[in-house]
Amino acid sequence: MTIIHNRSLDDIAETGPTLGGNAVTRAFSGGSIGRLIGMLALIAILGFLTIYPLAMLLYGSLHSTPPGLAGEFNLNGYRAIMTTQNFLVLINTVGISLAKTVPSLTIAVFLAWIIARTDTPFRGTLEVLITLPFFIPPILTAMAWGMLGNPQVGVINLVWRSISGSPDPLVNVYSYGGVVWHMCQYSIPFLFLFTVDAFRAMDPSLEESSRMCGASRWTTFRKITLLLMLPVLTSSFMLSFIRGIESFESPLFFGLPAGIKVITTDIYESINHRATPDYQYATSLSFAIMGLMFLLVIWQWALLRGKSFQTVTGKGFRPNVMELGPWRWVTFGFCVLFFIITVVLPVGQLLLGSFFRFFGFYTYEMLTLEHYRAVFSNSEFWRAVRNTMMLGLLGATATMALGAVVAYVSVRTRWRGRSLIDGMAWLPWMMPGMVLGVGFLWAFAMLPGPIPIYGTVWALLLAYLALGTPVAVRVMTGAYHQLSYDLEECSRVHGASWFQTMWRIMVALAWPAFAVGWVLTFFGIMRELSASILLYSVGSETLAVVLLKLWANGNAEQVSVIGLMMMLLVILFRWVQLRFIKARISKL
Amino acid sequence: MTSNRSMTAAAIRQWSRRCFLTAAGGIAVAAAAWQPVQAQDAEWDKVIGAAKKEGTVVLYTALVGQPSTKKIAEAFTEEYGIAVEVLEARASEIRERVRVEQAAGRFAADVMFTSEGQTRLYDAEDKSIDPLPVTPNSRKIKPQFKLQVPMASVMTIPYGIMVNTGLVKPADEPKSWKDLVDPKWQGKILADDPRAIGAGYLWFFSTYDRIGEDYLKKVAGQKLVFTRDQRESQRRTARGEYSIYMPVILTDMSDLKGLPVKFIIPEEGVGYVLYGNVLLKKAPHPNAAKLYLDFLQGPTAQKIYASLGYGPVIDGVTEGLPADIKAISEAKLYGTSDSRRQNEMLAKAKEIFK
Amino acid sequence: MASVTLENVTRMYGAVTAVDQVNLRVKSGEFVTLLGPSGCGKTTTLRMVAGLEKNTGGRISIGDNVVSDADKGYFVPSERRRLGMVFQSYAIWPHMTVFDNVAYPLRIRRRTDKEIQDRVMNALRLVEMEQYAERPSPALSGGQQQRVAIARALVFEPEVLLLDEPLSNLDARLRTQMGDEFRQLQQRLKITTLYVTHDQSEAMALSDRVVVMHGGKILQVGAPEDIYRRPESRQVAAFFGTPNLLQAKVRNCRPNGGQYYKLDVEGRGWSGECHAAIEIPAGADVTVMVRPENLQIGEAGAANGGLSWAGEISQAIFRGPHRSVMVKTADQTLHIETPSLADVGIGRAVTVAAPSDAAWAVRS
Repeated sequence: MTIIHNRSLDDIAETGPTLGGNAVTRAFSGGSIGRLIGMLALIAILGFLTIYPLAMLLYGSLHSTPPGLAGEFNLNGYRAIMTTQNFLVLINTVGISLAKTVPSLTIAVFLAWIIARTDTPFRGTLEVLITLPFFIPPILTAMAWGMLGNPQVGVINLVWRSISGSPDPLVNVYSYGGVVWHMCQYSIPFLFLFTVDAFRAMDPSLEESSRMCGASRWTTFRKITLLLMLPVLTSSFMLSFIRGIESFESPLFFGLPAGIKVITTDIYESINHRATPDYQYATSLSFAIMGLMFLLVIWQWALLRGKSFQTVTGKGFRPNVMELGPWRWVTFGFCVLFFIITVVLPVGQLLLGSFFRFFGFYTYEMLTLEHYRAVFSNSEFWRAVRNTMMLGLLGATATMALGAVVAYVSVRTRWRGRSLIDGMAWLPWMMPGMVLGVGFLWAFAMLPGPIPIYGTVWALLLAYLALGTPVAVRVMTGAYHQLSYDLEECSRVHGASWFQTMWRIMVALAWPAFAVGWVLTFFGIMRELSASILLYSVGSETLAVVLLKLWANGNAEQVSVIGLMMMLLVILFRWVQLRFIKARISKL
Repeated sequence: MTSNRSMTAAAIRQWSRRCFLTAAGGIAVAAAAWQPVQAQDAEWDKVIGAAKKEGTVVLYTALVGQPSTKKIAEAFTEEYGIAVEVLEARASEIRERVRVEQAAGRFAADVMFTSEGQTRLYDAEDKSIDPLPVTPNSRKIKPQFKLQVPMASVMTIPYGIMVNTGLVKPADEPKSWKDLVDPKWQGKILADDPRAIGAGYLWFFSTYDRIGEDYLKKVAGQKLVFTRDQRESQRRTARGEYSIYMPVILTDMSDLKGLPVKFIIPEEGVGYVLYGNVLLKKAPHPNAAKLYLDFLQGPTAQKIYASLGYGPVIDGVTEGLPADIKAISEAKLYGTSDSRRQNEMLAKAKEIFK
Repeated sequence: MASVTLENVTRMYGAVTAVDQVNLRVKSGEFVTLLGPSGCGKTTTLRMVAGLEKNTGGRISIGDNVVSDADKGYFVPSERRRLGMVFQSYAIWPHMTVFDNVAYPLRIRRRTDKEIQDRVMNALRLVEMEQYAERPSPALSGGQQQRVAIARALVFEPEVLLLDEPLSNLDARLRTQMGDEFRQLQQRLKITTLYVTHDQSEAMALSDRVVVMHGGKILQVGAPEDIYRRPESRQVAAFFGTPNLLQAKVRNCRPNGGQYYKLDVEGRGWSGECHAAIEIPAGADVTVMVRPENLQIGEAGAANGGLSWAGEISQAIFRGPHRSVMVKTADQTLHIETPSLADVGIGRAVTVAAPSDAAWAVRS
């Protein structure tokens, strides 16, 4: 059957003169013309969402002034970034990103394996809980960790000093370690969410046969399990690594006091801290980084080319969880420890702090519900919640739908140009958020007058769609790599059209991944500030804008009240989603 | 590196230019005052009438999250029945929005609330703002706030020093900017980063001009720890991570009531940033915009700012305020930054504070 | 029910020809098996009928309708061909219950709930799976999954049923049982069936006709017994079991009154009578095929017509129902299957004999 795996449905897609159905079904059920139209439509959509804003930025990098101002084309921006100092900063940035991505991926894979493939107790609950830190605004966890781990009066250090009697602090979060640690707080849950369903959808017989061939449990894990998960693992590594390069909050908060510089701080400064914002410099630097990042994408393509990673086959397999015996309490302990360190400590601070007038001053007189009252009676907050929920529901669904189609075309067909759309879907991820936000502003504002996008919520929605597509495509790509072709072909033979097959079989089978992607995208939208603040219009504030206002006004406690409520929403979403999966999918 | 003496000379030249500009502004106002008062009143009534017909004014503000914005908007609506639509974003974001909107021919905003330095950019680089109209209240502001750039001054944000009262005994409290070089503070000062535009840079700029480079070098020897988040840094100092935080926005004092901190107005005076309104080109509601500009320089709005501790631009609005607020609001203005020397001074800051 | 016609059907992958000019007509209600070693093009042929692959040359028709004509660029996609198919891996969708899996083709065709309920339960009853309707499908054994796959393929009464090695994932006993059940079902429903397998005994037991394929070409089409007893070529002969293939020269050829010819052949150290499908001139080289089960071991020197060889027993392997015995003759080693009861002595001199109608000659 191996020969079948390397072929796919598209080989049959060729239209005949008597085909029924409407134009759209035909476009996807076959026909070189239909295929061409479908492909062009995808390229047009992705082009508008990614290439167009980037083209505006490219113009910015090659022109002495930003769009709309008179100036001349030159290479000054690219010349200006070629400095030794920038090179050192780049090395530093890459180092930090690697230092956080590698351990994060290791821990995330280990956690995913524990949750998906072992009989560790309470793993259902743990699955929801250990992902929580990802959904809290970074500034809040940064603040919480600052309170826990500052060398002078950080709680951890106070406890350490009283226990050990040592005058030196145990930890100092204002350091390289702190920057990396704070990034890990976000990348571990992200990577975990990304990989856990891939583990779950693995046919145990693939691993069992390796053990039967004499491979140890560990060798099997390395040579079979991890290799079969190569698409998911490489994708998540890249997403996480690139995000690490672009990370801004952690280096600014924890790195700056220790004199640590990264690329994004340089970009930020060139926009915000020069007499005239130097967009040419900022965009040139961003494109240089993007060029380097794209090498990673090419590496992944080369790595995955011509291999099959199908682990979900039409032959059912049992939910074979590994019985760990007494070791399951060790894995349980590991999860609990992880939960305590990454969730209970920082979130506990936020929760506790939200009931006091000021964070860190926990005395009886300071006890108050004022912050909750203030948030709940803030009409602007509720308006922002309405706006954001609407944008989030609509945006996440549209993003995942687009992501599913792009991933399908790039993984499961051999259409010409599928690498192009796969590459296009990567682009927004490689451009630092603050620069991309400017790209969207330029792109949407510079559209011809009658196209009513700028200044409406559609601008926000389109920006979110573009920003979310990379994750959506990666999530769905990983899932599609795992599904064997006969599940799809069987549906076609039994009378289902391309669309019906897509919806009832492909999306339904990839549903856990789809749902995880949806939640990631939804909360991405809830948190997105860089583009939002440049595109929102009067009355269409998003939650992130309101959070910025509250934070700028020194209302950290109210910000955490909102952060905690966002977390509750996550728990609700994840709980519903996992129950739904349990009811249908986890019987895999 | 320039010698100390020639720097002082440069500073004096700078200040004398300022005095000259102020004088020139005064002449312009005096010229405007020539016209018969009645004629002006009738003219202004027309503006008010037209503004009410427009019904709305769209305000972009670079001062994010300040409760004063809403208070004043409400007061304006109450007075004239004109709605104020507010869009908030940070300075560089709001500037780029306005620039791009105008370049694309989408004229959405009427008034922008921003700083003197930013106004200069709008005026010189982007050419996105109109000259200021002469309004009844614009004639009443203190001469020093009548500017060459087309910004209708509204208030100053004062910057001083904050200490943790648990760590600093009253007798040890710094009284002056110069006290920061006392060796006992080594490693105990948290400071806003002077190498990026913001409060720290403002402190750097004003003390560089007024005290001199040697002073700053001495401060650099104190091993300052830099941050870029005003509010979080205030909290960190309050929790006892550092003894001193500087420069601090003095008006935040009322938000931190109950914490073991004290806000100090240095005896030389406070660093400050002057904020005001500019009129955007092709404003969709030009009359309402004029009226809003005028309103912000009137006693109602000025009192609101003074009551929050901001420095007003007219006299007589600080009466009856609590003593500590009054002190901040009336604090002597020591110095501010000049956006024309920005790149030069940022480079200097990076050189001194490596 | 409909017939299936393949005319000069070809499939190229780049420069590689996977299926080469195949012509085949499956009659309505007939059970035809495509048999061959892996890589022979049988699965590709089936997938072209299913519409999962596009033929690069030739024409495929189902019933009176052309579904694919490479020259005219005409192609009907799978979902419009009204087929039922059972995949090698069963392709049971793991996110659905047994009922949902079987109901899928009906739901796609927007049948009423009542009709779906009735027909799904009927189909499940047919494969004796009705009590498992609400089971989540991954929780089934291999045999049960196979039944579900068959029920799903039958539920909407397709024109043609296609099966791609459906029994290969089952253990030997279940394979036989499921095969027999399936044959009965097919005969009851009189459904046109195209079946792919590499297992000759499966092909023998199930089919009305067997198509032997090799290297993308059809070697022979015929009833199982014909193919087994009267292969047209050495390749086909060699494909079934482990026949004894002996080189010989034709001495004489004459019609035997029926549709075959009777030959006198002579090999090295032996001679005798055998049959052939065509007239082969005297002096031509032929390969004589004698199946191990048709050879008999007798005492040395005993011969009575047909063919016989003298030799000695070199090896004997007990296989349960029978015993494999190797007899070394002057020319080569013969493989013989004898009842396992009889004891044989290694090294004993014997005569191996075969009746002339058990020996079949093809041109070599």
